[in-house]
Amino acid sequence: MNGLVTLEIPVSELIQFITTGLSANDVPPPIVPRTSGGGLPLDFPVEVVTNQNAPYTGNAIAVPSGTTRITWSTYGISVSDIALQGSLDGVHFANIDTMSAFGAQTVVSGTCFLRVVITTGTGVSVTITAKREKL
Amino acid sequence: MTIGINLELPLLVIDGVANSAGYESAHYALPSRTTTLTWQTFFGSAPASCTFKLWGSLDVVNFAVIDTSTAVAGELKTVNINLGFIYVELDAVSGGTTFSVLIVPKDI
Repeated sequence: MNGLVTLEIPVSELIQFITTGLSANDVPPPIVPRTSGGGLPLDFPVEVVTNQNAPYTGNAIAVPSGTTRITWSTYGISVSDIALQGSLDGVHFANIDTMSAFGAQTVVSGTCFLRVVITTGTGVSVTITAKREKL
Repeated sequence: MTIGINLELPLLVIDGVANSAGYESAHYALPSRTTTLTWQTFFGSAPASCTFKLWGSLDVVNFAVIDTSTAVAGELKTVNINLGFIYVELDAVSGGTTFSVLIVPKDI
């Protein structure tokens, strides 16, 4: 024993650590697709619609307790009529925001469930982030 | 009668009542930390026109309108409030069958 320790680190991770100060485990995870319903986390973007054509009505998605702001962004091939709907019971939904072109918008709502309805559009994907912020 | 409700738990304050102008829900005492109230209207079948009023009070005696909904397809709205009591009134309606209202208070 001469007191030296050898560590095996991939060169790519070493470069990343040197340039960003982050290890591979520190890198924020990518946007997670979750198109089958379920729930959203707070402050974390989730892709709730992936490459869908109109007419399309997404599954009901539960939002975290305390959610008061919802940011949603749309992207894809084309869209001219898409709605973000909210609900307090997961059964009856009403529009809380709409878009007529791709973009990102934030809506103030204390809804408990969300879903996306595409009336006119092709190849549309939607990402939602739920936030708990003072109104 | 005044009924207490919980934070974060949606409550059906009007449950499938036949359309009747002037109908009022019970009075509900809000949790002390309530700062936002989200309320949703929906119908058995859509009326031709309707006006819901959300009333609020600090003393359960003197109420004032704090929000209004006239969407015949149903609506979900969020308002900032600092009140102790609320109730919902179907102020006016034409057509349709039954109506329901859900509310949920939050402390953000």
